[in-house]
Amino acid sequence: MNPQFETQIAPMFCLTGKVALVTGGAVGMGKSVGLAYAAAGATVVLADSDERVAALVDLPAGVSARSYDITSEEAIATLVADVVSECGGVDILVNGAVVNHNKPILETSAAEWDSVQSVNLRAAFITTRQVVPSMQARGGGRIINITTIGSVNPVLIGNGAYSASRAGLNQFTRNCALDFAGDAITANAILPGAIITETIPSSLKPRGPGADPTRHLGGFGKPEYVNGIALLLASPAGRYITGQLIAVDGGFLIS
Amino acid sequence: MSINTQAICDLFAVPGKVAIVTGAGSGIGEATAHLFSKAGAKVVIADLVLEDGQRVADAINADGGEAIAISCDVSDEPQVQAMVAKARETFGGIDILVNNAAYRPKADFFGMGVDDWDRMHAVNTRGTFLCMREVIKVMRDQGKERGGAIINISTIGTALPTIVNNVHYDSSKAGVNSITKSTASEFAVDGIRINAVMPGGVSTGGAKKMQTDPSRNFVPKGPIMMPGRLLLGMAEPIQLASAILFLASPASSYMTGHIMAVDGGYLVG
Ligand SMILES: NC(=O)c1ccc[n+]([C@@H]2O[C@H](COP(=O)([O-])OP(=O)(O)OC[C@H]3O[C@@H](n4cnc5c(N)ncnc54)[C@H](O)[C@@H]3O)[C@@H](O)[C@H]2O)c1
Repeated sequence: MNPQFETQIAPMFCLTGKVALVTGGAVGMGKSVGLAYAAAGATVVLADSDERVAALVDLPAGVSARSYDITSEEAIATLVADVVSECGGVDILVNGAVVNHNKPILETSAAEWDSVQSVNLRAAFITTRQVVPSMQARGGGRIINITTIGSVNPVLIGNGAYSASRAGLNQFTRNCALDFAGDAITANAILPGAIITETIPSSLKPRGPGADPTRHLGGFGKPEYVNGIALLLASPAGRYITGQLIAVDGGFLIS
Repeated sequence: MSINTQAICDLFAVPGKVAIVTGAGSGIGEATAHLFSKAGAKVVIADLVLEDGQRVADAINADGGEAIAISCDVSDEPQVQAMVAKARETFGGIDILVNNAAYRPKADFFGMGVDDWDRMHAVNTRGTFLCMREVIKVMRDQGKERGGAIINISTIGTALPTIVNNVHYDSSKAGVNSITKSTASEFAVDGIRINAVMPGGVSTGGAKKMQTDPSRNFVPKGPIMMPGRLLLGMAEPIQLASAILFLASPASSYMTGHIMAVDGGYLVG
């Protein structure tokens, strides 16, 4: 390794002394990002459902997991309060929790619509509201929301409730960027493309020209493909980037 | 917990890569050239003003890096061809291109002559095209495995107006955004990733000169001059250079065709 990298570049991307809370942290991109933050020196709390947290094994040093009910305002408040009291605060929040019903619009019940919005949008709002005071007290913070390219362009048939919830989260991200800029808190969204994770139903099939893998970089992606942008946005190097919706999609949106 | 420098290095280092940065004799380009060198790249500084480029190359070499400066007007086809050929010959290939050189003089909408309009598009739009065409030829030659990364420097003025008397500049850079997306789609099959960065307000030599050079008779006016409009204030060149390194490095291996603002929140403010 180039010695200059170690002394001058690594510190730009280093998270030593930072605390990161990652929701949806037990699987897919949330877990991948959480582990990347830990490798960069952060103390990381992965938050997810009982069942998913129970399945987590062999977490590296500096990483712990907590289960909670993401649909309950009270449970979210307790989660954040516990993390703040145990870790001293939160500097980085990744809203990575997501559900996807993948149902045709005409077959989606109001209850299903509500449950998608509840996890994908309402919970991100409540978690952010609970976490920001700690960031303010610590002199800054980073909010990173994981949404989807489907939030700006429909890429899958039968994904109306999901895409709408993620489009809502994009705009919530931009509003956080505006509201909290004075507190040195940045807010950005990562829009993954066809990244295959445990929670994506295999029935999902991309449509349109973007579905042709020769038109974009290397076909389907892996969860770790978002680690780089997630680390940039959380690290000192990314402190001037805010209010952005950043596609990590192998070129899906332009193909 | 201890940091795993190797993990950061795997994402953000560009060891042994050859990078051309145009307009690297000043500002964002200069900061990018230095950062690339620290991240392990060999750097070609292509600038209209050779002494500025040479100063940056000398500083990189004195610091233990490897850099050369080439005099090049990016709007001139033979000069671009010669620059790219020399870069390839000197370092044995090309992996990264940053199209950063730009023409910036402001002009009154009614008073602007067609030569102002044309020069602006010749440097910013045609220059980007020419450098890309010559470099992509080399990258395709080197094969898909090696691929390549190209980063075009645009401006947030393409998304929202920033200052007046800048219509020709914003137009030339909107062309750059468009070139970015079209080529990203066309050359993804060759493993070449092409993205753009839109800076907001950055304190660089060029930006200061724009405001203080009396011969230009230019007083910046427009939305970006409103106090607090740049939510996080002015950027330093290193903030842009960091994003450019990200787009050049394995950290962004699954990104192409993206136009990323690094603007301290101007576009949401
Ligand atoms: N500084 C800002 O606030 C700002 C804002 C938005 C976009 N940008 C963009 O960022 C990039 C860098 O800006 P900067 O402020 O660092 O610029 P700068 O003026 O400090 O440096 C630009 C460099 O480009 C060189 N150059 C000019 N014309 C050239 C040509 N025809 N061929 C080769 N080299 C040429 C100059 O000699 C100079 O060294 C530009 O593309 C600019 O449009 C800057």
